Amino acid sequence: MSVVTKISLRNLIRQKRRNILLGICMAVSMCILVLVFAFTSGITDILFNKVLVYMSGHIRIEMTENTNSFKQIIRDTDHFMRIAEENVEGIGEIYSEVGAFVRCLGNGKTTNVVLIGMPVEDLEDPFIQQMKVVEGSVEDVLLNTEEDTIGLFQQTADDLNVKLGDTVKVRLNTFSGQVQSAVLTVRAIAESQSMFMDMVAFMREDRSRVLLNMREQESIGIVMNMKNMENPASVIEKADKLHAALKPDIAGITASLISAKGEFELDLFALKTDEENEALYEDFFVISAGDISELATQETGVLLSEQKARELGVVPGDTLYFRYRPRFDETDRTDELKVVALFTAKSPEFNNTAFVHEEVFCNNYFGYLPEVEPAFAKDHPLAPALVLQYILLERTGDSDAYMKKYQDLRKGEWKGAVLDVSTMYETASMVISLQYVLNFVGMAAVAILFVVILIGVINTLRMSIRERTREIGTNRAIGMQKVDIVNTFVSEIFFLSLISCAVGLVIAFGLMQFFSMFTFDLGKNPLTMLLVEGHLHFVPRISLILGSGFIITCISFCIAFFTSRKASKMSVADALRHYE
Amino acid sequence: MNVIELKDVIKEYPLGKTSVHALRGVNLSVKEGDFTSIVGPSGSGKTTLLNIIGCIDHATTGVVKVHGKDVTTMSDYSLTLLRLHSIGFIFQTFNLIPVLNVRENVEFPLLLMKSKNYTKKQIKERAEKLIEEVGLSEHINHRPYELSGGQRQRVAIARALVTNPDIVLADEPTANLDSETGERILSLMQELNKIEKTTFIFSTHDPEILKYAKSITKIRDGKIVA
Repeated sequence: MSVVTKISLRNLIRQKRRNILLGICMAVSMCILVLVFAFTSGITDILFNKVLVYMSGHIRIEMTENTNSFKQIIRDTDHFMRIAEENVEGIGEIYSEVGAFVRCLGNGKTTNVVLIGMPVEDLEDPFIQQMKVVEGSVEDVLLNTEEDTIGLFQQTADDLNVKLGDTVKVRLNTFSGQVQSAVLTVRAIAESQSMFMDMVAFMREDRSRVLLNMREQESIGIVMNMKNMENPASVIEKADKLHAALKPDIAGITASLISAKGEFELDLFALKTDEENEALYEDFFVISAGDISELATQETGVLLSEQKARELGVVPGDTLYFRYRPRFDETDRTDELKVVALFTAKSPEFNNTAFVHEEVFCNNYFGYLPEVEPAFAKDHPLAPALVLQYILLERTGDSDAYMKKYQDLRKGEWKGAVLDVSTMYETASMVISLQYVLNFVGMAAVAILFVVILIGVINTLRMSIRERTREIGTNRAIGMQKVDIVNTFVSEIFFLSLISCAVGLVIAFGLMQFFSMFTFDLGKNPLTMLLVEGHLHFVPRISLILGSGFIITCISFCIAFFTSRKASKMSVADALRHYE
Repeated sequence: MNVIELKDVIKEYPLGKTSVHALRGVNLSVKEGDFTSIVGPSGSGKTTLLNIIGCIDHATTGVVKVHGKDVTTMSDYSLTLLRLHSIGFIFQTFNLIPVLNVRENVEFPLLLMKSKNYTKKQIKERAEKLIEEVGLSEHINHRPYELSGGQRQRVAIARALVTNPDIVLADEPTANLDSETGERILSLMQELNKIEKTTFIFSTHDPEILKYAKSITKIRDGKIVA
């Protein structure tokens, strides 16, 4: 141990009272910093990993059909899940949502709940795992095939005035607009968690699909939650990457056209017949019979090549049928078409192609995705006049832009599908704002406290150095260099801050344990969402603890450095003359 | 050979709009191995003169040479090194480091040399030898507050001599001691002057201890008078 270190350590003990006071200041600072950081991290953890994951997810894929009536449904969930898994790094969990807001009627009381369908084979699901079932069991809800069952949180059960074994009636609108209702038996009641979690009720997924009129491959959204959400803003970049990976093809159906003369396979596409696109198709075919403008008004209208019309034996005004095998159904899909016009193809590739009205195309295509889709080059000059598999909505940065995007969308009458990739920053910005506010308030309090403590540390150090001026003079006279004088004081403060930070950390952990012991019953107060099972939630991250220690040590170091450097620059003779 | 040479040294301290003339053209030479006393009444400039000789204060004008080197143009770093290697100090108020024990206080200047000149063992042996010479072997592990004034000054003497300096400067080394202890301290310094062949310059205004000095320099109102 160097003599400078030895003197520093012994001086710490020599000036016990002052150093204890200074150490207490630093320990309190450390304690407060760790507590505030752990508390804000706890809030972040609750909001991002316990509220948002169930409320909106970190990243969502949503698809909407019939924009004016806003039917939210993804028809081919697996397809988009695959794209998400291939393009988003760090996914902790990914799942498709099957659920709806439902009106729930209990024993003389009603409330709204979010009814979600849980896969029966997935008892290890994080949502199931984190529930503390106090009456009944999850198995009684999910593995029960004899009756329609439901699991509730205690708060909702109280709101509905129901107990285990009672029945509740649920009523909801399916995505297609039908009103459905069902009677469900309460087979599990879980301990209340938070305002958001308590709103959730769960039932078997297969039964919920029947209730919601959703097929197996359909869902209302795909939700992704990230692992290790230390940097929540990273989801924006991930969502942007996913968005860029989504590239819709031209929507088409390989179908059989059926007339009295026979059945012929060809490719069906939906053609936009507005003026903007007219110039496009004129380059590829010429209308030879009938009126193409009828394609815009006749919802079942079809435009055929002359060659194909001859084979089918039809002329404008005739009716025929088309049939195709849907991707997820066993039964073929059949619909009626009316020939509105014939065209002479300038290029033979269009002889085996028919163009139909958007209405008939979208009703069939989006409702019953075809098993076989014809390929149509996206860079073909005619491509802009054809309907896409989905319209990919632009990414938005915040909830205002997100809301406006959907308001604008509702004004349109697009029958097809629009796809959107959003993050919690758009779908749950209020929750995130709350986190910002809480963090800001916490940091502001810490900043004020810090200034007060800082003044204390500066004054204590100045006093200490002033009292030891003669000692500095003696050391300098004996032959100690200025840098060693500075090192003596800096080392002293460095050791003191290290010890104080360790003590502060221990106290902070003790206080965290202590505060976590209290159970807060806030009823339906929104602040309950900041609690976990009624307890304050602290997440002391190592990076923040080290950061807090670093801040305190750095500040102390700087104060000690500048104050002692000033002292070391004093004339030796003046320092020796100094009397306190 | 002169170990110290001062030529026309003037020292002025600013005091508001005026200045105090502490030294007014001092010329002084001290021979190697001398045991000299600077005598004068309070305020005559004894301490200022010793500070300038010891390179802990600067002369306003004039030339100060230590071992033939002009110290008035040296940097603070070089002056500190010069003090460490060539000059020992004994203060009126002892000025021991309170957190170090007797041995550590004596070892302290050698440790500041960062072991370039001495090994740890040599430092320890050198310190113990000097502590023995000043008669404090029994108190080697005592802290300064556990020692009497005389004992503290003995530690200061050992500390001043530990680096084997060319010059030891003692500013009124007996002022805070009773006369008996003061005489013992001077006897010790005299003995060490003989053993270590070190030049001693000490200031005093006590005529009783002048008998120990080989040569005497009298100072009055910042001027050497004899």
